[in-house]
Amino acid sequence: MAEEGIKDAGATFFDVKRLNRWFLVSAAAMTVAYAWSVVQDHDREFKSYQWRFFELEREQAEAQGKAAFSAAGGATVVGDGAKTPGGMRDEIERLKGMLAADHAERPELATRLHDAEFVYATTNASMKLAKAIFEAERFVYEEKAHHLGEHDLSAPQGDEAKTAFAKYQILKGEYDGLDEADKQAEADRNIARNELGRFDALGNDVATRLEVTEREVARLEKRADSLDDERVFTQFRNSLLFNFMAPTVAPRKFVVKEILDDLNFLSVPKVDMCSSCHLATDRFKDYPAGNAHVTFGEEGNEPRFEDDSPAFRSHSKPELYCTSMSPHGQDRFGCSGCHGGGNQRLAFATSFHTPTNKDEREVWEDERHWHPVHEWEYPMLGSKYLDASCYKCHTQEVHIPGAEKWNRGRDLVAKLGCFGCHKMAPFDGFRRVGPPLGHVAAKFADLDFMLKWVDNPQSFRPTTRMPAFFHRENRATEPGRDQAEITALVTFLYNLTTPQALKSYPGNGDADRGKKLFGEHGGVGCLACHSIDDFPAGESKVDKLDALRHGPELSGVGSKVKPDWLFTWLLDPKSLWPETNMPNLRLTESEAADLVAYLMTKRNVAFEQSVFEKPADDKIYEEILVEKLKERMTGARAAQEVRNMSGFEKRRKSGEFLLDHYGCFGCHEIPGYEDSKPIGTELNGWGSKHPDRLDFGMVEMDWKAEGYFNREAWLTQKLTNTRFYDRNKDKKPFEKLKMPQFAQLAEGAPDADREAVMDFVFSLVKDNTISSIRRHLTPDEESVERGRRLVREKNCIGCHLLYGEGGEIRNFQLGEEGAAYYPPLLDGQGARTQHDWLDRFLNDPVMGKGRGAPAMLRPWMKARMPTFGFTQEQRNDIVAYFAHEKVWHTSTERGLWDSIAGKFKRDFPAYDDSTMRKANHSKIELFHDLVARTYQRQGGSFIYETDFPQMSKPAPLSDADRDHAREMFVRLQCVLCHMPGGVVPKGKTAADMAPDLSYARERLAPRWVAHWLETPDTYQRGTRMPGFWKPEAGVRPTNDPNGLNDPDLEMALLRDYLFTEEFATEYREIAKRAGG
Amino acid sequence: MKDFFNALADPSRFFLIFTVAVLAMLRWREFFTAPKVALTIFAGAVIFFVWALKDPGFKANISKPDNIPIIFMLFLVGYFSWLSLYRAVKNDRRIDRGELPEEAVESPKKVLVWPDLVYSEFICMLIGTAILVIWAILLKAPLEEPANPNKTPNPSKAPWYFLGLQEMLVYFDPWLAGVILPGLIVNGLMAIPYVDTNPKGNGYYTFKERPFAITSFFFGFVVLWVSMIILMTFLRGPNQAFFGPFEQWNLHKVEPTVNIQFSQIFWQQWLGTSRPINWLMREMPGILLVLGYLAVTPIVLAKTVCKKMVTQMGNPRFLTMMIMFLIMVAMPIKMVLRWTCNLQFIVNIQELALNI
Repeated sequence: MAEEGIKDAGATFFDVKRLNRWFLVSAAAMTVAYAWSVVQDHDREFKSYQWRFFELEREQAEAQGKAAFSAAGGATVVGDGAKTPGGMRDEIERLKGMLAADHAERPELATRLHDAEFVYATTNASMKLAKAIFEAERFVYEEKAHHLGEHDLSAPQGDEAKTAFAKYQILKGEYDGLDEADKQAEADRNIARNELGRFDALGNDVATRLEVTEREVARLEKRADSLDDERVFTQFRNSLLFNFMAPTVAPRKFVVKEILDDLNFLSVPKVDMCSSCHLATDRFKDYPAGNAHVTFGEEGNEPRFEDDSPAFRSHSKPELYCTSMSPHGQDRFGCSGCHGGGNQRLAFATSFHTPTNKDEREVWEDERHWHPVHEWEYPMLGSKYLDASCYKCHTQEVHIPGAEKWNRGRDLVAKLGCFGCHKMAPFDGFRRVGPPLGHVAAKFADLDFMLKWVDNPQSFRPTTRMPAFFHRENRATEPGRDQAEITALVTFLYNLTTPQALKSYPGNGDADRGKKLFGEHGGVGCLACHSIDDFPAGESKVDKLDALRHGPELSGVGSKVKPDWLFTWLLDPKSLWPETNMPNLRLTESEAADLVAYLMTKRNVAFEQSVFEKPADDKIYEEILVEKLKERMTGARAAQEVRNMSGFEKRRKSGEFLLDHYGCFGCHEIPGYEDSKPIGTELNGWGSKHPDRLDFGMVEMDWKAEGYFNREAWLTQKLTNTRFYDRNKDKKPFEKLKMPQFAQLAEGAPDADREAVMDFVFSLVKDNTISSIRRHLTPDEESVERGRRLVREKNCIGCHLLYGEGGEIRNFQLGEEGAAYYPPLLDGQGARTQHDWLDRFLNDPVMGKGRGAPAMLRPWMKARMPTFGFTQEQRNDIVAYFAHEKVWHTSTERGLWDSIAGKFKRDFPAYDDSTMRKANHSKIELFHDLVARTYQRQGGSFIYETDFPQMSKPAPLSDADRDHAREMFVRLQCVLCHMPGGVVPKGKTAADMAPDLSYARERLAPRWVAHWLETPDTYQRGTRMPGFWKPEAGVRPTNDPNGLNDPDLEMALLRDYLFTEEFATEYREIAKRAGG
Repeated sequence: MKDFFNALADPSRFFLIFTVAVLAMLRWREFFTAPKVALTIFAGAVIFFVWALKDPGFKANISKPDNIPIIFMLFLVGYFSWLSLYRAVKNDRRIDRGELPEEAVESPKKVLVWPDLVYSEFICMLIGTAILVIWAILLKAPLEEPANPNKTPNPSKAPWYFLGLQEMLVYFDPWLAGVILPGLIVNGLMAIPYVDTNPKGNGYYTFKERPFAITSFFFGFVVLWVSMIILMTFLRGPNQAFFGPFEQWNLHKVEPTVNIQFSQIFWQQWLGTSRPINWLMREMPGILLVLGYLAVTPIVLAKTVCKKMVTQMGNPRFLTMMIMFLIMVAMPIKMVLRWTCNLQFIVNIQELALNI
């Protein structure tokens, strides 16, 4: 039956023809599916960028060829220039022609030189012969004359002598003639030689130009060739199925050995494939900057052609990252080490690009299929927060040059004291930011003040850095609770307080005098750190005042403190708070009394009149106590314990619980809480914390849906409104969020400040760099960094301008004479003064003269250099800081520096003159650093470079030299400005005065004085010190035709004179004479 | 409306509805398999989907590339269930009329290996491969982030075809749900040819001739396996909490769960005394209950309702089958106990880390 079935076509169950048709269809489907998959695999996003980039490169090469041709002096561009860029071949021909013509001309010149050489050689030989004979004969004559006793050799007496003399004279005449001829022949020879030399130089020049041009043509040709995607071979080797051999279109990568990717169980070197699409990052000479998508498409950064993209733009800071001289070369640092992002992804949507703002995000979503992704814990940092990556390697620095936002963030965190509650590595071991609270009863005017202050610090002082703990939104449902908590806290603190020995204010201060002392012409110095409403800052002076001034605003201080306390504090702040940053201004008791009298008139009346309502009964304290006690006992027992407490004890005990809860000891030193641990979340590593670990509260789902489920959104909201994530949450009072609100970061505060703080927090990441790539400081450099920190912490720059930074007191030194009272600049301080002197000066600026003493060098000054009470270590650090602070690299070789800086400015438009004029300190610093790298490598040195830790001193002068120097000193009328003791002579104002030179010997650095005398305004722009030895000065300091006329020697003499032992005495005499 | 569906998706209701629906389908198969009724149900399902897709959360959940195969499976299971029952109903009618089943009439007794078998298999293979390739092109499955033991995805879910097993973990101790029960499933499936020697239904669809076998199959596969996959995929969200199909997957959703042991119910609630300190004593009621369930029930059943079955199968086959069956039925029993009494374990011997 089966056999029958096989024979019979109809016996198959399925119709074979139909099966064949199905087979055809399914095989076709399979083929199509397979082909589709191959094409899909071949057609990758990055390839389209690369093909387009090749095209751009070709266009670029052509354009460059044309430009090079016209630059080389060619006439016209011939041909289409497609293969041979420009018409440079013509130029080559022209140059070759020139060379050939030259070659035709050269033999004639060579013959001339040859002939002249011959004439010279023969003349020279006969001259030398004649000279030898003549000199021999001269000796014969001399000897004969000696024997004969002749005395006048020019007029011989004896015959024998006469004969010898005549013979000798003839030979001399012969020699003279020949010598003349020889000189002529030599001159002729030289002319001929020079002519040939000039001719050859010209020829060489042409030859060099030819060689350069030929090389350039070859290079451009090669480049155009290699990029020529129309060539069949390129097409072939990049084509489907054949591109496994040697494709030119392929992923590109940097392997970054020193920065790792954390794969949880394994750390592997980063493989950054970003450059597969971002092809022009290091080509800053050929492609405009604008890789940062932030500005792409904005005015001034418009797309150059239809499909322009950030992928075809160069890095916006190539000098830092993309050149061979860059401190962070691309090949070593890669991309994602700083930028973050999915470094091994090759598609826009999945490589974790982060949009800068909402608008950009929408465009990306619409046009680029961008969507928030979760598969990688290190998304690209938004362009606003790129600075944060600097800290990965620059962990030991206080300020990172160029990382402006981070620097600002660090300053803000340091000033606001975030580290009081949140442990973070850069601030380990820092002093608490707030004043100690161990003696509040002695300090504050009354208990009421403290209640109202804690209630709302800003109502007393709008600029205060004390954050607001109370009246926050998550407490709205508990009326009276805030008042009760404040009362309890204050009760507890008052109960902790211990008496403090205070000097008593004599009560005889004069408020007017005090006011003058405080602020007239800038005052004794209070205004460098504090502000007060009587002395508004001048508008157009140094800078606008920082919102976070160093010291508190004092307009209402009379309502706050007791006069005795203030009196003691002004006389010696450290006696009340050893760690305070407030320095000792060495006020006399009467000055202090005047200031107290003045400050006590400064009252905040509205604040005094406001009323703090204490809770009427103990109900809320009981609730607080029961809630806390129930954590460790039953409710009944807790209630029992609370019942046994007195009303005061209830407040005090609640206060103790609340103090633990709010962690007041994070910022204030409180007796018994010295070693308490900070209460907030540790922020080390926060920058890598996954958003899943953050409490988004009830907004989580909404934000996830909208794609704002990230660290940035969370932190912005947290800083703007610290209690936000409690919304719609029902919690017990002690469970609620308790972070206080800083007004400086709240809604309405500058976004830039909030972003700066965020930038800083983002920089605290899980470390994934290898030690070798990080910046390590030497012990010297560490000392410098500590010094830098001190200079900022102690607010030296409140008075002194330091490389254009600070100098806030200048805002108050108004009026015509204002400039006279400007505290001195600190630029190059370390090079200017001797280190020992600076150390002694920092220790005691009046060197033992005590309270009320005028300044030593500039006695006319109103502001006083305070006594900070630095330790020896601190002074060492500050001295080291000034000695090594080379940021304002003022070069000794101006020409070399200028040429490097000029090239730098040409290469990197970000540093051109117009931009740099508006630049801030940090950018200028960076610019100088970068130029200095090349400058130093080429052997340049700096005038602010100083010997450290020792300085050499000049040798003593001889009497004659000293006389000469003294004469110079008198003639230059130095004493007119440099008066000893700072006496202001008639007809002069304080503004004309210059430092007392009596201390020069022990104070000034000899090396610096030499430079200073030569070009004072290089050191200090706008100085009144004239540059006597400048060529354009006209007047010579000495006009003695017999004496010295060498400026260098003169300056050295004058300088050394200042360092002689006798100078001090002579100086006073000279001054007396000049003054009389 | 959405709230109504959310309420229906509560696991106990969901399970109950699913069970009742499957049993009803079997009971009134003649009505449900009628093409018009089946088409109406199908249309209803499609309309429901279209309507539900307007909800962004539902859409996101459904259209996740990982979940696509489950959607396919839903419709395929529905189609094949209908097909088998539809043809079974037809055949049952024919058998009642004394005719041969359709399949016996339709195809001759033997067909050729070539071209009937190999050729058609080859064509199917080609089509299947093409579909898989195209599927892979259209729905990309990129590598995700490197596994991080400190940050597991929430919810963490097994591959879709294992989700039923994962759901068992909610009701049984891991050694049961993860080791014993899956082992029994595989062994039970392997045992079927040896246990079930009944030749009826071979090569054709029928229900009337195999009511027990087919009902058991539907219950074990559709109710206990497929419905658990649906439950696990679409209704369990972060922290393995239950969410209705239109409910937002909020991370902070809290489920009121407490764990009660059978020993607590027995000693504390029923006898009103505290539990014995000796663990054997404490757990004895649970142990007896489990042993009783597995040992006594088959004997009782053999003597009463299943007398006919025992005579047909013989004792060893009956016992094997019955124990497998009882273990399968233990699953819904335990689920119901969990939902209704918060019962965690019947036997809870922490001392030996042995929980049942």
